[in-house]
Amino acid sequence: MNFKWIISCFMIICLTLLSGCWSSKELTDLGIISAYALDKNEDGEYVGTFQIINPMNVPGSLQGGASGQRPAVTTFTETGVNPTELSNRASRKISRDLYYSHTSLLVISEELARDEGLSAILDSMERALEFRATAKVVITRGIKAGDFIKVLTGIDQIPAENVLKTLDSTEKLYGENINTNLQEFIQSLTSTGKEPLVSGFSLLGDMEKGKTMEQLHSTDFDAILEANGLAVFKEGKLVNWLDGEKARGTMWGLNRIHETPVSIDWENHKKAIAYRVIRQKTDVSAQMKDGKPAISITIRAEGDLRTVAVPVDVTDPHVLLAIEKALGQEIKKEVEAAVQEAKENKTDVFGFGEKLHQSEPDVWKKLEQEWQDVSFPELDVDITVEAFIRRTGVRNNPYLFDLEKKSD
Amino acid sequence: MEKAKISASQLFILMILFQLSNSLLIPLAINAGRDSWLAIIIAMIVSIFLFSVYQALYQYYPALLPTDYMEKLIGKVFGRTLAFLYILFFLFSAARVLREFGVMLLSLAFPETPLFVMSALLILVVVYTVYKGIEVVARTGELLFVVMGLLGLFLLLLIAISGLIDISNLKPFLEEPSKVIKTAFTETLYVPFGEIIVFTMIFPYLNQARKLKKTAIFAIGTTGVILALTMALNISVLGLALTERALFPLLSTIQSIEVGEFLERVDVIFVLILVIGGFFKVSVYVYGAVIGTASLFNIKEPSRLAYPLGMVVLLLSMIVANNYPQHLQEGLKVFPLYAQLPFQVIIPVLLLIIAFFKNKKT
Amino acid sequence: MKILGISLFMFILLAGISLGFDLLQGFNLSTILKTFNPLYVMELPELTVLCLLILILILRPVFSFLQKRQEKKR
Repeated sequence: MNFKWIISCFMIICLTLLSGCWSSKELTDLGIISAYALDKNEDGEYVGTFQIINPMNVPGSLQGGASGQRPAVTTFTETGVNPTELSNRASRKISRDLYYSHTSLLVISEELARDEGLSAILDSMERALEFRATAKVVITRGIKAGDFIKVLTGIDQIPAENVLKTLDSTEKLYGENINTNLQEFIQSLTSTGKEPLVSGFSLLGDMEKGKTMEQLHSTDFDAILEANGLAVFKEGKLVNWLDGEKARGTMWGLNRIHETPVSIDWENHKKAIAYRVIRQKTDVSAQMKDGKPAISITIRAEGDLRTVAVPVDVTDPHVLLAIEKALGQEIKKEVEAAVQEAKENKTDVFGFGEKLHQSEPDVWKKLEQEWQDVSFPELDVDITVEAFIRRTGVRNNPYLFDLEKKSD
Repeated sequence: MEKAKISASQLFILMILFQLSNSLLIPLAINAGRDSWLAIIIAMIVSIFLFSVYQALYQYYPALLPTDYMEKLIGKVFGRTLAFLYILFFLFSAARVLREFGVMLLSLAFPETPLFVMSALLILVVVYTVYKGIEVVARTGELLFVVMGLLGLFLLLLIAISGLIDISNLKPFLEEPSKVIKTAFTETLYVPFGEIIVFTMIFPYLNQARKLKKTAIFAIGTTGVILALTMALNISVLGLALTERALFPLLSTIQSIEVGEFLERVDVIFVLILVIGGFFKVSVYVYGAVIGTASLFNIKEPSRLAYPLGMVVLLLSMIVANNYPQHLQEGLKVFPLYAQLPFQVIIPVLLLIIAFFKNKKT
Repeated sequence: MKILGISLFMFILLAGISLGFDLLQGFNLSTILKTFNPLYVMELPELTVLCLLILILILRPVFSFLQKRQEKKR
């Protein structure tokens, strides 16, 4: 009898405790942060800007009637001596608890990254349980990070979402920007054999107009966020920007190219043949050559011919072979330029050091200390590129070829 | 040989689907210019003679596969070697067709899908059908023939209604007769008409042997007319220059259909025709190879060969050429001369002569 | 096993023939050796499909071989 009572009491206690309402938070008490921006002000304090989703105004929500009249996000700015203090101090302005789990974008301004480095900030991000390691990192270029996340965007109405999708699609379709998340960033930051790369973003147009709803009421936005270049870090600090071909060359070397156009000159016609890479594979291997470390990069790409603006017979396999060679040269040139740039900056963005570590651990131990500054710039890098044309679209010869034939 | 029978009408359907499949899509006999349709008709008539050779050989040994009667005709060693070469020829042709269809599907509908995956999916269906045997292939044919026929009629109707046909594009008639003859004899005779050599592997399954001649000639004739009509249609709709440049003229023709502002973009029909045709061509080739290998190497269950040979075809289709233009060039210049001419014309004729003398003596 | 052997033999012969056709097209040997290049650039899903197909290919003969051996033991 007694025993039964004890069991029942125990079960009741369990019921109350296990349902876990200890630190309960109601949805209506949460301020869901979509993007988090960090700057530094003149006093040396951190300036954090939170982009918080307005649940009522996001299109597609149940009360969708309000959308279109008010912006989908609201931003708040707060200062603090470190990120933790900053975050809690923000409660003075925000009516809800800051909820970091859905933060998908971390924006850092160029000055902060250049002057101070990110080591201190990243620690607090990493240490906090709520902040997801899969949040993407971008660096703003020529604009304060706080201002950057205030700009309203059109197709995806939550600006953070818009930036993420832009980054995704441009990496996939063009290949001059990289999608780095917090985890990858910290991994390469701590590795001695690799330096991190982060995409830069800049703002085109007028920032002040971009903040208002007027922006969304026109077809041609006053302010547009644009992915722009790759930021190179060394010892946690931003040291250099890579743009254009160098950025893409770096992406080739990192095996991060998916689709990208490659144009070559042909018979005195400038950039007359365009080739679209559909898939590629880059193998990087490290070996010892005459007692020195050497790296060989083998790139194999396949794709289609997309533009043939010269009279050339593309049904002839021999001609295609020549075009393939020229394309290979073009890609090789890009990668070489990127490697050269990396060597000049003494930043091993390609992770050659890691490769060497994997294949020659003994040599690596000796070189590790001065890898970035001494060994990497003198590294012998051999690049082989093979481009394969698989198809030529649904036409065989360009009509220019027919025209030429007629004039003969 | 497996114990199976197909009827004359099934053979008819198989032959039509087989020959139409890729020939319907590519610019057939385009080297003959505006008169490509004429080249097709000429090649068709010649191929009827070619068929008579195959048929005469079949009459000597109505119950045997070619791979078996070769042994009887020219001895064990030579006969078996020749039979083996024929099997290789079938496999190679199957691989070429598979590659063609893979690339076509990729360029039309799935540009980012890897060729290998596309080909693998196609060949798996083929393997399954071949595994089930010739009767299943034939019955599938009956089913899909209706679909293809209806689609074809629908397309013809649409093209006619949209008023795209401009007969003057076909003029002048017979600009260069020498070119027409040359194209007919160096290209069109081998693809698609000469390819019926693989049907000699299937003739023994026919349940009414005497109907063979009529059925097959009727099938060849029908195919020839359809193909000639298609090419004439392509040229009359697109004009010669565009037809020459198009990798798939029929697709361009279909794409130009516009009826009453709502019946447009019917390209998907093209993809349907493509998949049906490609499936049959590869199936028949692989079936010929499977059944030949089984009889040559004494394998009791031919169906067990379907999967391994299917994989051979798949891998071969990947390495057969570096790129599609090279594949096409090979199909126009090298393959007819060094493979199709001997295997489709010279060897059957020689075999017939030998068979004639051998059977005369006894 | 026999079937696998025959298939492999055929594949090697056919690959040789394919090389021969490339030669006849007027390519030199070093370019032809790249003829396997459609198999070079393969992404993970492709490789998975390839491995799966080959696995199925090998599985059946191996099973029948094992079965035969068991029967023999009895």
